[in-house]
Amino acid sequence: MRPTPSTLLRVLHRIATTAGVRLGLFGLLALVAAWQPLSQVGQTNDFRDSHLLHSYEEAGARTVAMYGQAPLWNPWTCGGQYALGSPQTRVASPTLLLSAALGSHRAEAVVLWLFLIIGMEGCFRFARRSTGSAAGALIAAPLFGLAGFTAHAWSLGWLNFAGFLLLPWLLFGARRAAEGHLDGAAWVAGGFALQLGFGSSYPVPMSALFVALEAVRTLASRPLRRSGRWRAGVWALGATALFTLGAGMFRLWPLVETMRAAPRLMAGTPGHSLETVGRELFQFPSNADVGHFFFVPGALVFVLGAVLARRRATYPAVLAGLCLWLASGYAAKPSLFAALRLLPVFGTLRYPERFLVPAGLLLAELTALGFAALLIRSSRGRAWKWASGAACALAVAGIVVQVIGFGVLASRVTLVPTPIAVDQPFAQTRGNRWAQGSFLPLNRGSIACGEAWPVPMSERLRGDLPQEEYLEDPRAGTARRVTWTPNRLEVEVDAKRPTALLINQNWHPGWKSSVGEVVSRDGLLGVTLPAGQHRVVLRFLPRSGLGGSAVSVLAWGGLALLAWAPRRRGGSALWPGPGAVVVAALPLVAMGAMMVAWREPEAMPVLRNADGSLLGTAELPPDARLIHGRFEQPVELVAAQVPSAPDARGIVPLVIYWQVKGKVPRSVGIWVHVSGPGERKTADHAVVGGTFFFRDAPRRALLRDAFALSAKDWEPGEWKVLVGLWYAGGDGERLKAFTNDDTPVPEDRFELGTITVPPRP
Amino acid sequence: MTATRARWRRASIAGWLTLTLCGVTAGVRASTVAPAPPRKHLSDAERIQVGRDAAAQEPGWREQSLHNFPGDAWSQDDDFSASERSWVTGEAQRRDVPVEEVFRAIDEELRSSGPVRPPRKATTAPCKPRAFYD
Repeated sequence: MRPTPSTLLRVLHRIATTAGVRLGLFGLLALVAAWQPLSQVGQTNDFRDSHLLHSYEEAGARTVAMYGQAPLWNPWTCGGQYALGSPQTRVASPTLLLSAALGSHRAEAVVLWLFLIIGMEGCFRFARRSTGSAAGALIAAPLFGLAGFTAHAWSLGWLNFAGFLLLPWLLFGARRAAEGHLDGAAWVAGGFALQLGFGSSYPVPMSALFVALEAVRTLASRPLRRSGRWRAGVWALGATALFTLGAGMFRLWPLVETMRAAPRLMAGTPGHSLETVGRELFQFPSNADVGHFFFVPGALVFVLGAVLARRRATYPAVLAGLCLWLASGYAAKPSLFAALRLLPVFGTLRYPERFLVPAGLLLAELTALGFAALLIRSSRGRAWKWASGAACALAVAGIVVQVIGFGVLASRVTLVPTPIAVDQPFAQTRGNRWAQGSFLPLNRGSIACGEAWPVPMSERLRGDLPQEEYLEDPRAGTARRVTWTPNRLEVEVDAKRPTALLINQNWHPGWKSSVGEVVSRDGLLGVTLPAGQHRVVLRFLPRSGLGGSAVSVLAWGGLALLAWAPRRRGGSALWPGPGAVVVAALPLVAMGAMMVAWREPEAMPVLRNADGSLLGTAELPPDARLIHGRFEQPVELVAAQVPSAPDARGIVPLVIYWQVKGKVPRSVGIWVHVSGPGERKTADHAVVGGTFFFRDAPRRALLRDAFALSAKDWEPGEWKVLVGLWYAGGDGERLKAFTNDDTPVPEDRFELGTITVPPRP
Repeated sequence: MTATRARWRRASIAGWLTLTLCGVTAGVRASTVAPAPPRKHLSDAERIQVGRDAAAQEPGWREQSLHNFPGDAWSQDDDFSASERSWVTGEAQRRDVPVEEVFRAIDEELRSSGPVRPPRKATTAPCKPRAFYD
């Protein structure tokens, strides 16, 4: 759409296309929106998630500023954690330098301000590219950039969700790459690298989904199809994907390695009615727990986009509709979110409503279209002129309301005084994950850990040790700490006989020792040593972090090579084409070589029940009652252990032995009813041993599913334990049950035993 | 035309200056916003007393957690931590001290009475979050 001589359009177009004016405007809007957060940083957000996430950042900033080391190992949380392998840390982002310089609390608000500008500028570029209107894009940019979700996330301490603001840059880059521009590859690779470095498990997979759709949209667009440039676009996108993988490997490799050893699991069937989704999206933030996104200013205009620019509006309107469908989760029938969760990585997404963030970007695109369509008609007559003038006034008012809404959401934070640092040597303490931020200033590591994934931890970590480095056999000699830093420890050991030095931190394969061999003692970091006097230097040098960083450097080197390679008549010799794909693949080949040449022990997942017992077993115990019950899906209820009465503390431990013999839908879960005098207790669980769904269980292995109930308030008498399977995430129907000789079982349930609750004393 | 171009060039410079000024303002505001006024600290004797008080509460919290989350070691410890935090917050308010002072007292008590024995614990179960815990 070309600008017309209309004064309004001309001025708006000028403002939009003059980078200085546009960015000055975005900077000012971001400053006003972020003023509330900027005024809060003298204190600490007391929300539990903020405690955890902030202490990650504080640990990283301390490691850089106080010890001059890269933030690879974080000894202050969960008994020691691989910082790059923990999905929620922001320490692999350049913003960590700001945290190190200003202090992590104070830096957070500045980072927020920066991200708001990045979000607005990204939205502007994306909307301009897809609508062709700079003026429309200028109006739409704050609607996405200042979306309430960022402020909501701020109030909960989830600053890493600001990574969503990179989404328009990724879509813009994908479009440029598909059109054959090398800078598109740089935007996509850089955007994903920053998202990965900035943490959180949502922005990256969700963005990847929309980037793939945007790439297809561009390839299928009329100009590319007609000119035949789509072939070059495919090569360019292939190379972009490889560059992106390489550029993100500094974080992807540690993450994949960690998640393989400790997979994150999400069950449940979260869902929202269309009304709730609508209120989330459009309601002005109030004390009600809705209105976290707040796109109402856009809503007034995006309809115009759909009406006036029907053809161009089709894609964003359809995709926005899909986002709303996804956002309604399991409440929608059929559920697109449930289908998405079947894909790897997406299965770990917990909150469907976060799809309202990309929906907001698409609504912003529609808004840009609406404005463009109106402004272009403004020279057609007085009515259109008035309409476009009114729309502009409405947009300005809408942006003001958007800024106010942002402030309202950002102010919903519970602030407490920032803890004062105490100068004392590092030690682990029992800690408390609900107040994690209280321990780091005391230079204490909190063993108590509340993450969204099963952090590999040792049960031998203690918060009452006289010293953190000690010999496994105290009579074998002495150990004395010489120096302590997060990534490097020096301990003087005098051993009369061979022994092991134990460190009160978790083991990780990345730890290397100058003497002896690094070992895991029930997950605790240890070094086996010969007899004699040793100065043991332990360094944390993880292959995935260091190797992944080298791969990322190589990927950027390859991209630079393509940019500066000898050019032939207006284009790179290699880009876009098979040569570029080869260059982009080389860092990944180097990674393969590194994996072969640089051997490191592998941390394997140990599958346990919630009570800590092993989930797998080779054989049934003698007291197990054989059931051999079968179901319409290939799962066998092999046996069970049911105590005759609650234990001395009133707990009823139950064990069911299962065997999975084929493919089982994800929705199949276990229901457990314990029926007694006049009432029924339940212990339903969709996840076996709190570890995996039947779908993901190893085939033919004997699974020991241990769980318990409290009989504290049960009436005295006999209680029957009845068990079956049901489609927990589906229609809620029970699976048909059969005995071993194929006889249908009444009510599709098996009685596992009877518990006698004695009369109360 | 030239005058218009010059006007927009000046506007562009003003825009960049505005952006810079906003950045400086954000940085200065974040760096200078006043922290909460300092509060009093626990004396050594008070810390010992607070540590003992927390230790006395621990068996009750553990028993409660055992029944709140039977057969779930991490959830029991997490539930215990929630009870402890609630008590710590109340105790900090009652004594008008920061919460980290109370946590420090608990840490020192654990260290001074180590090795801690059941029903108290100086350990926590490895993190194993419930698959869905809302």
